[in-house]
Amino acid sequence: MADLLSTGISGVRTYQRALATVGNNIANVDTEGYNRQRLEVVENASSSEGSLNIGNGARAIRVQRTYDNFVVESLRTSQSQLSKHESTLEYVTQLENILADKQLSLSTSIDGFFSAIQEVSLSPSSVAARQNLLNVAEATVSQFASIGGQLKRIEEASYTDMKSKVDQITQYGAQLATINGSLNRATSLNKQPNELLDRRDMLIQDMSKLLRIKTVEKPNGSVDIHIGDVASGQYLVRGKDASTLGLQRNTTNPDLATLVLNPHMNPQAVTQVVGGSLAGISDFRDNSLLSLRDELDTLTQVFVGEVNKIHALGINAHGSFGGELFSLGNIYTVTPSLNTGTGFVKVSAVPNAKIERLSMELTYSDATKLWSLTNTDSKVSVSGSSELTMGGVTLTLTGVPKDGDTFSFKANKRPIDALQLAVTDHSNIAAGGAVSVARASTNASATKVLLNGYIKAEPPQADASMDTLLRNNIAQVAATSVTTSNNQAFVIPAHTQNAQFYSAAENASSSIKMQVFTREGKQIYGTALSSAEQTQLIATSNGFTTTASYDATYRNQTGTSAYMDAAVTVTNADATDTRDYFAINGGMKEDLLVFVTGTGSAQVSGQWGAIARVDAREQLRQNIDVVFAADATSYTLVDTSTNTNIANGTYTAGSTIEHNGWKVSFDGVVQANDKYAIRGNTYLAGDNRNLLGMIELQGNKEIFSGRGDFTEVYTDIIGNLGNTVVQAAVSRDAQQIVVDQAQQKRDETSAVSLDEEAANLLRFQQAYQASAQVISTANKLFDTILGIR
Amino acid sequence: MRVTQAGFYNQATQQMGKQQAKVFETQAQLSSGKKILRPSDDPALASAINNLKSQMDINQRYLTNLGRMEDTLKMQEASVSSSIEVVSRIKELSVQAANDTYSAADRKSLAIEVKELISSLADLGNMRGTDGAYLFSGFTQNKAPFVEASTGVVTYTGTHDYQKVMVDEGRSMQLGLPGSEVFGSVQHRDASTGTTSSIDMFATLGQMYQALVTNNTTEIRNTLDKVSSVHEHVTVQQANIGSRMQRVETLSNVIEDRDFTYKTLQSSMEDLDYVEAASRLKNQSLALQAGQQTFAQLSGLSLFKYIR
Repeated sequence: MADLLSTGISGVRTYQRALATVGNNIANVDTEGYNRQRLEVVENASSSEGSLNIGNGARAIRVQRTYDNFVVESLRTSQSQLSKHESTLEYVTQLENILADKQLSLSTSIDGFFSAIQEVSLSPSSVAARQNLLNVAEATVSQFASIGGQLKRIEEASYTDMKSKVDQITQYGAQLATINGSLNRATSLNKQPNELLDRRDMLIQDMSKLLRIKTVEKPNGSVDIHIGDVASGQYLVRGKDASTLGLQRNTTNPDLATLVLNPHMNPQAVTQVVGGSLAGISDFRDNSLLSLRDELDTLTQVFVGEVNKIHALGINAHGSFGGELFSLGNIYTVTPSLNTGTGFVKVSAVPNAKIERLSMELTYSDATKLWSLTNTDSKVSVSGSSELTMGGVTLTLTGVPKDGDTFSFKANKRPIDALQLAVTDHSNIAAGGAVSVARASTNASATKVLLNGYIKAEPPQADASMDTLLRNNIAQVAATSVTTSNNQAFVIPAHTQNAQFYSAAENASSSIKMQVFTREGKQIYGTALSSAEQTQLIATSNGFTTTASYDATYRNQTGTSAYMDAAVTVTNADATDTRDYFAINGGMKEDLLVFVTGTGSAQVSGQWGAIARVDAREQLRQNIDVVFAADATSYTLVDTSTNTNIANGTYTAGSTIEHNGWKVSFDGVVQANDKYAIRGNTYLAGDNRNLLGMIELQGNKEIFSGRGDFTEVYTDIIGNLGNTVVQAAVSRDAQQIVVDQAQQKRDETSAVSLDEEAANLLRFQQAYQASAQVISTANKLFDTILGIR
Repeated sequence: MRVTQAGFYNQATQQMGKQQAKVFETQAQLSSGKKILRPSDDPALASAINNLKSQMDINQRYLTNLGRMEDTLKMQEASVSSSIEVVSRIKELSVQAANDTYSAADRKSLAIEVKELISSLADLGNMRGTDGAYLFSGFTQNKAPFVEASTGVVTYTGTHDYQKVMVDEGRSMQLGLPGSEVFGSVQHRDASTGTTSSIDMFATLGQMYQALVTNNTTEIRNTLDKVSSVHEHVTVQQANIGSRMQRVETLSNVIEDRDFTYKTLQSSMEDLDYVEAASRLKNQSLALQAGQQTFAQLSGLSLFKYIR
């Protein structure tokens, strides 16, 4: 039965609630994550009175959130992307601020270093200028260190930042899991409290800002969270369970860090880091920062390598060759295990090679008498006895190791941080040239000799043919059978100590003879060669130089008549022994080529001591006279200390003469019997030639394989960084527009409009008042009935 | 479109923020006077400026080097012009001594003066530069190059080398002349045989001195020609140094010109156009003001104002 009073009451109750909803909307106008609410009102069932159906008022069925899943989802993903770009931009801007700072510019300080060298080159004997060079060099080193340090701090700061964000995500995950628990109490989304859903959405959005996630919503409103932009199966939250997110540094290369799910129990590397500020920072670390540090390391290494290479060929104030001007210290941490031997290892950087920051292990084996160096990650290994090179470093091994002795190597300092000034005393600055040249005052011509530079700084590769052929045992029983030939049998490497050889014909009827030559064709031992034999033997295919010519002056000579006054023995001390015998006591400064000529084959045995380690630069110190012959078209090189003719050559006007690594030319016409002195230098206070070589480095565009000189390469690095910043800013700005639009869309849908609420307030207030009036009317009607008397 | 409170305020603050950032940027440009404040403002231009600055530093270095070269040459020039006087005097005395009317005693007294002159010539050869290094010693800068034995014989102990100095990219010049060139070997053409040979300056002068001491007139006459050659030689050396100084000056001018060009270029690359920037600032602040005013007006519009 229709009841006006009930209808009125239903209206009052409904609009009371509607007004409460409006009030709540107004109260939450500025609440973050609040979605405006609307009361859903339906008609009550009508009551039928005969043929009439009379309505029974209205009732509120639920308070509905105004929420569009699509809009919220697109806001979330676009915001994730924005946070990524924002984080990248924030960090690359920091990098830019450091490197663009004029006070910290590496190119300025490298220029300053070269300018200080120029100052020394102007007055090489000035202690003040030399001391100034050291001070400037020290300042240059600290400039490198300062930039290296700042980059390291950025690396650490970004790591800490990531770490705190990772922890934040774990917390959000835990909170979301709790909310999921509460949501699980109801089976339908409609029954869930709105503020719980708002809270859920807020958490998801906050998480998305940190890391791109994929949400999967259940019918009751609880959500599962996957890491990544698709349902990757790497759950951050699954129902009531939340996982822990962690950050781990790479064990081999601590500069790299990766996100790990469940770091403590079942570590699993996160496969998809595609959005959110974590992705931005991680991107910055793995790309911009790492490549910048690598580039600056390369710059450092080339700087150190090139400067040292030239410095090493100069002569310092003590009259000796220059050492390293700069060095790279502590690039690896060396940890010995419980070694029983006295083996010692020194790590040095290979000039201009990239230091790969590997993890390596060095082990000695008694069986092979060799050390072997293994990359513990790739398992690649090399072996050797005194020097091993891997990943941009050379290990120099000394001492007496025992079987199984082991050292492990871990990457420590980056080159830019490891840079040190190796020279602390100004007298160790190698300003002078290694070789001095002069014309003899007795020359008929006034032609001057010019030093054109050095052609080889590296020692020649030792020839191992002697080791392969002979057994290093003089006993006849240990002899090797060698077929006579006009081809070289073996080489006695330079500086081989106390070598001696026997050779005997295998067959009594055959005649054999050992023949020993220098690479220039000077015969030291053997039989005189016929001109036909000379042509056959003295050939480049046999190891002779292109300028070699046969010379028998020193053949079978001993004592001061011997080649370079070497302690040569050419006769067998035992007169009853008919074998061919040749020995050198001590060592020879150059390689000797040995032939076994004749017919048939010979039994050759030999024994020798160690090959003395001699600084390759020392050969520049050999004092040599270039003596022109009477026709002035040929010359001989004479070792002045032993008065030995070490090489012959032909000279045409304008050509150069090379030997021992130096190269000279003449500035005019050479006349008969002209003599020019090539002298290993001792200290000359005013000699600045080596410094000039270093100065030329400043504008050398070849040192970075054509990328330009120091300034250009550094500028290039800064320019690239500038471009990175521009790109990051452009991406950020573009993404900001997308986010603004998504935000606007979301606000349009879900945010509170006060004008709208004001209108509703009036509307519902009027409806409430009207409903109250209905009650009052019903009351009056009732009174009317009661008033019938 | 539903306009909501949150949307309205967000948008308004964002717009004003952007405008404010622009004003701030222009203000920073104006206060620094530079177009580019950081490389990302224009990476290509920033690189070019950096390269140019390095070039300018290097250029300055060349100028310093040339200045030092000029100093050294000036000092060498002073020494050489004094030695011309000394050698002239020796030549004059030698000519006098060749005169048959002179007695042994006369020649002896001339010899004393010649000996003094030779010593002072050696002193001129042993002159030091401002940094304390010997000017004419070649590479042995820390030792006096001309050593006078008690017998009066002067020998050169320096080297025949000379320092080179970088004066331009890939170009070096001799800093000065070694003593062996200035006070060392002299080209002498024998008038009778017509052959040219090199003689040593101090040996020749010593020879003259000995001839005077021993009153050997034939030797005096023979040596006179050589002394003339020595005189000629030092005069040539002075001219040599003079022409070097001229080259240094020419080169300095070239490099100074280049420096000026670089500076002009640098200014055009990095200096701000103040007029343009000031008018830009005016425009930007106008826009900001407009934004602020409309925001203030619009935010006052609310239906609640009218519900009483």
